[in-house]
Amino acid sequence: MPIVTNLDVMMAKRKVSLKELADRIGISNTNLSLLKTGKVQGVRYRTLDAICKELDCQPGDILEYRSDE
Amino acid sequence: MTVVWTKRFVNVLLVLVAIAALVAVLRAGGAISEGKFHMVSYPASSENIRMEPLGGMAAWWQMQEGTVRVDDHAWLRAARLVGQLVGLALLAGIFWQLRGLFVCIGEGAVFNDANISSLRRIGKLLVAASVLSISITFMTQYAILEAIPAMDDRAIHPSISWNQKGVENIWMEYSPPIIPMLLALITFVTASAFQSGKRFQDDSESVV
Repeated sequence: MPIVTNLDVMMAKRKVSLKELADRIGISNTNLSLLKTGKVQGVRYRTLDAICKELDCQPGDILEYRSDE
Repeated sequence: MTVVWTKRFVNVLLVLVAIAALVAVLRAGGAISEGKFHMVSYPASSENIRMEPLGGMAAWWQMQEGTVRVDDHAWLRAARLVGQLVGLALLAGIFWQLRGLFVCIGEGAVFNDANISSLRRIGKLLVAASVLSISITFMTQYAILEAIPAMDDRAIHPSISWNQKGVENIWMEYSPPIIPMLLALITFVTASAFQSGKRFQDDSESVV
């Protein structure tokens, strides 16, 4: 999959733990962990909105397209 | 219906199938002990309805349906018995698969691999039962036709045939298993629908 999640980078920049962010955006630790490791098929706009709001960033800071070639 | 009652209901159906198998074997045993196992009877109907008056009343004895019988065909009787037992085993297999399917659905697990496999197996069993029914019938009718000598005034036909003019036409009866074949088709379509449902479920479950 050429879409890479850089959530861990943004979390490190904002010095936010996984549990803390999960609590703030209202999803489970497990789901946030899956999102962080890129093991999901999709992200809801609602989740993306909450993450961007909490980490004060843009969707492009979290998701990145890297070509397979 | 709850899971427990569904299980009980299908268990009762399985017991009925077992009883039917037992009855078939006992009948065969009875025929062997009476020395009648070599006889094979098959339902048949005539186009010429013979009417015999009953006494002086306005009542008639109508002869249209009956059986044709051949003797010295123990192998055919045995083959039909085996076919019947195999058919009952297939029916038991269908009920067993239905049991698992109903229990899974009753527990809330609808779109999963086990249910899809169960539906496909039910479809295959229904197709097998239909093929078995057609094969046994074809074999029986062919054997009876081979055994009955040609007659001048009477012609015995297999189920699919044309009548002859100037003779009494007797057809051997058979209803093709159209409903089991339709059910098999519906089962395969349902299995595909379950497969799509599973795909949708997987997609929606992996979105956060």
